[in-house]
Parts: sequence; structure tokens; C-alpha cells
Amino acid sequence: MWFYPILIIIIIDTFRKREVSSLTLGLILSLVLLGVASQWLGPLYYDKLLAQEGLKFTLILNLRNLMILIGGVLLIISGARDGD
Amino acid sequence: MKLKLSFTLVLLLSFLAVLTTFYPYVQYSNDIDVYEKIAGSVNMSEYPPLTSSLFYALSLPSFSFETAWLIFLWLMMIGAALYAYRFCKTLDAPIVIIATFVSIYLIGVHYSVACFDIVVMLLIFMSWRASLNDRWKDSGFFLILASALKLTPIVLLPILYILAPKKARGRLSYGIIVGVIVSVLIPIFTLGISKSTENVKYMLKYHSERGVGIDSTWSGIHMLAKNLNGEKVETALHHVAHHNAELGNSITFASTIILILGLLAIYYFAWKKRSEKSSIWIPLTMI
Repeated sequence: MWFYPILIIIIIDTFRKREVSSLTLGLILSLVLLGVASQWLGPLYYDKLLAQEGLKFTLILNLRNLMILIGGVLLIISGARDGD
Repeated sequence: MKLKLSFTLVLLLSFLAVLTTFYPYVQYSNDIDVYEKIAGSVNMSEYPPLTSSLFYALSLPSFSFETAWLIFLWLMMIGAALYAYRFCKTLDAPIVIIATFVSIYLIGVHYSVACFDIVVMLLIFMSWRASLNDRWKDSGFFLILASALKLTPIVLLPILYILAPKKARGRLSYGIIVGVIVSVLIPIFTLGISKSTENVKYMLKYHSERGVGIDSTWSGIHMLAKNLNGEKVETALHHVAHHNAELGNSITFASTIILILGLLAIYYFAWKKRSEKSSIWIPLTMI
């Protein structure tokens, strides 16, 4: 998760330049969900994910992975739309 | 100016205070335990020699490895903040500390403080901000250090060459060469040539044997599909991690192809839009 703080810096930069858009809000949402999902999967409930009893933790895992993907897609759109 | 410096110093002290509260988490972290074991047998390290020599150095003080780890993180943060303050924009210093704070609370201690990725992140931050401030020598140097710690940041190297103006590419190459020399010499001086070579051989063998991680994207989708049918995915514990035992080499091969195509696409778009000096290419390549 070494890219996580860097993405937060991207968001802070966007706020500083007053260039907040729906893409920024989407990135914030994806980072929050990614973070929370990671904390749920972290060492505390990792055994339950491995046990695969019920869908809850498998869904959280997929949510986390989806948020990484969405974060990347939002950056691509942001990069394609404009420069600094 | 003084206000920004004072703010940065207060944040650095707050970071130290927060780090001390995480000591119990670090003490019981599996990852930190692995790092400490590596320090005792560096030739059997799955990490590159520079990382192994870092763990070895952290095991030398008379106090515990966990304490040394937290002190090292704090010193790294001081280094990154001071570099940003002195050589980039003054506000970059508090921003990197605030971003780390937010990360710790959003993503958890396990993935931040108790994981050596934070060190790689700080080096990439310095490389990224140096590139935005036309300090290409520093940018190349920090990127190579990050790559010598965790290999994968090397995918950012073409991005730096694409973004660097033609007249700055010589400085970038100089920084890269110095970075390579430092990354090779530190392990040789701390571990010795023999152990460094064994480390590289072991690392290559170790990673060539690894399968598909249980929490990877592929495995997540596979698990979901099977769990929806009331079935369970078979897991296997090896190489200090849980893997999806039902997904084999074909998935690894497909992932590699997708990764290469994705990187080529990012390089292409970065090259096409290089004149706009966008700051998103490095973070995008990282994600």
C-alpha cells in the first residue's frame, strides 16, 4: 500500500489549487473505502477471510480491490483531462 | 516562512508521539518479526540486499528491533520533510507528514507503520517532488534507492525519462548512476559480497516460486464466484503468505502480460501529454 499516502497528497494538492471536481471526490471516496476495507481485512479478521465462512469478508476483499482499480481509472481520466 | 517551519516541526514531533503509541502493534506485527529474522540471516532474505542491510543495521543497537524500527521511521520522515522544505515547496514538508498521518488512520497501522513500504513511499515522494521542482539528479537518485529497496518502483524510471526535459536527462542519468553505486556499495560494506550475492540468488528463487496471493484481485474474484456457489477456495500457506492454491501459472502469466500492457499504455499517454507537466503520472504508475 505504498501508493496510498501519495494519492492523499494528490488530493491535498487538488484542494490547494482549488481544482476540486467530481473526480477528486471519487478519489477520496475510493481511498476511504480502500482504507476501511483494508483495516477490516487486516490482521484482525484475516483468519475469517481465509475460512470463507459466509460472503462478508470475500465481499470486503473485492471492494478493496475494486477501489484500487477505481482509483487508477480516476487518475487516468484526470491525466487525460488536463495537466497541471 | 517561519510559521511553515514551526508547523512542520510541530508535525514531526506529533509524528514521533504517535509512533510511540504504536509500539505494541509493531511489537506483535508479523511483518516486523520477519524483518528481524531477516536481520539474523540476510542471505535468506526475500528482499533486495539494500533492504536486508537496512534490517541488519536496525538489529545492531542494544535496544529492541521494534524500537530501532520506529526511530528509523521517524528519522526517515525528518529526512523527507527537511528535503521537501529545503529543496521543493516549503508546504510539501507538512503535506507529506499529514498524508502519512491520514494513511495511518485510514489504512491502519498494520499496512503503514508496521510495514517497510512506508520507507519506499517516502523515497518515491522525494523523487516525485524533486522531479516537479526540476531537481532531476535528486529524482533519479531517490527513485533508484526506492527500487533497490523494493524492486517494483523501477517501473517509474521510464516515466522520469519521459517527463524530464531533454537538457535535464543527463542530470537524471547522473543521479541514477550515483543511486546504483550507493545501492550496491551499502550492502557490500555492511553484509559483504558473498552474503549479498547469496541474498540476490535467494530473492530471485523465492519470488519465482510464489503463486497467486489469496487477497489479490484474481483470487478475490475467484473466491467470490466459488463462495456464491457455496464452495470454498483451497488456500496454501507458503513463502510467509497465504496463496490461492487453485490458481496457477496461467494467472501469473496473464497478470504479467496485463501489467506490461498497462505500463506501456501509461508510458505512451505520459509521452503524448508530456508538455502539460502533469503531476499524476508517477502516482498512476505506482497504483
